Amino acid sequence: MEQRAYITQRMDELKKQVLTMAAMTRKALNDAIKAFLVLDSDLAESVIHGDVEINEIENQLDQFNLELLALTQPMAGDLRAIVGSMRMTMNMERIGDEAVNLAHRTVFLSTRPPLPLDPNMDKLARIAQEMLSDAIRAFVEGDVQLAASICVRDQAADDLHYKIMRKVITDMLDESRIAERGVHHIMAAKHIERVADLCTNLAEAVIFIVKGEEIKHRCQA
Amino acid sequence: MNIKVKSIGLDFYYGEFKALEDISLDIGENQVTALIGPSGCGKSTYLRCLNRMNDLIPGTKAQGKLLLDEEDIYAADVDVVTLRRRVGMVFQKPNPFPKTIFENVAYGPRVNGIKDKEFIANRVEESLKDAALWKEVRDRLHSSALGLSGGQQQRLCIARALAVEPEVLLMDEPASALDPIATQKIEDLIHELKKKLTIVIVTHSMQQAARVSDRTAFFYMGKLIEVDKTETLFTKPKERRTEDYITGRFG
Ligand SMILES: Nc1ncnc2c1ncn2[C@@H]1O[C@H](COP(=O)(O)OP(=O)(O)O)[C@@H](O)[C@H]1O
Ligand SMILES: [Mg+2]
Repeated sequence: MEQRAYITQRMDELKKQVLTMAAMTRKALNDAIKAFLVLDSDLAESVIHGDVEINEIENQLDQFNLELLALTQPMAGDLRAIVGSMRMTMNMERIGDEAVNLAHRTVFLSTRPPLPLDPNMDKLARIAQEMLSDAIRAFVEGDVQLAASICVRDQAADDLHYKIMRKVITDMLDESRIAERGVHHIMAAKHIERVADLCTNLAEAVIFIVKGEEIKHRCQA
Repeated sequence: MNIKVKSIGLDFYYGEFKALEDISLDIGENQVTALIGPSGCGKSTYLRCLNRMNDLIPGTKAQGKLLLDEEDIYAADVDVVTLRRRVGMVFQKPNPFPKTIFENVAYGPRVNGIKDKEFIANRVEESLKDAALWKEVRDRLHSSALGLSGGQQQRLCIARALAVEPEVLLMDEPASALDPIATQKIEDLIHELKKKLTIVIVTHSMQQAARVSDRTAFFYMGKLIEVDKTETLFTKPKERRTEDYITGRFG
């Protein structure tokens, strides 16, 4: 095959694999959140067991990217797509880990009498889920504007996380019997807030791929 | 960046054929500037303007300005011999004279009228050291240059160019006839040489341009499409045509 056709074909394949991993990551997060909100320990268990597959595809993508770098010596847009994909897979794998962490909280909490969730937990979860879906969409469409909007939303996630923590701490001070469950709620909120952070990394990677701009840790397009 | 060579709106013609159009390019002192682009885009032509080697081809004409240290290279009163001493050149195929290693390097100083034997011997040694060849040939300075390997011959040609102490060294695909190890030696040498002089290199290997140069200029159909710091040009080119070329979409 002609060299350029070969590279184009490999780059398409790379994008497909990143999207496969993205779909798996999104499913893990959505399931982990759903399981947490309704205390479904079976669903939580399935998230925990499913994580090996995300780790596996991350390894495959690392290998794929490494081979592309070595064999095609990419430049410019191709090079950025590869480096950006590596950043994306790394961050998606971590989102998978946070989904697992959240699932462990669910498994624990399902063995205790239910403790009502702070309504903000629902909002926080929704923001994190949307940030992930939008990061994936921004990647598919090369939409820099959408990617930049994800970074902005991280602030809302941070604020909600803080509010939840304050609220649960106050409740625990009033009622020490709930302390154990309360700590798990606080940790759960932290896992979800962490997902939002990781989504901003995904969004930054998208902006890097499209525009070549190094906006890491600043997140402005 | 201190500008060593500056072209402003340079056009170049082979007869009626316009091989270069409106080239404005600054070449930084003690930098390596790489010229890349598909074959026939005018890289060698541009390089040969810099020491007026093109004058040797009948029916050619340059228009616009080409300045070396702010002086017009194409001005009527320029002594071409002096210009070519200041702006040396190395070609794609190593082309040593069928003489001894010593005589190849001594050639330039001798042509420039130097008679002092000790001075010449010193120049030869210095130049061979600068070309990273001294250790390999010190014991056989008086054997034929044609007995050297291709990579050694190319470094000998570099030593020959260095012997007249040029300020600018032009290299036209200097490693394209060499194996990877000989190529690496030339590239290492380029890194050393730029401390002393200014280098302009034509290369058809983008990886080589990326490895050796500080700035890269992309030529296409006689025009300069884009020039930038090498790391920027290869990661974030501004022009679509540059992107297409360096990612192998044409050429
Ligand atoms: N001596 C010459 N006479 C006429 N045309 C020439 C001569 N040398 C080069 N050209 C033409 O000028 C253009 C640029 O050539 P050149 O500078 O050798 O390109 P490159 O080095 O980028 O491959 C080409 O179209 C080539 O055919
Ligand atoms: Mg050429």
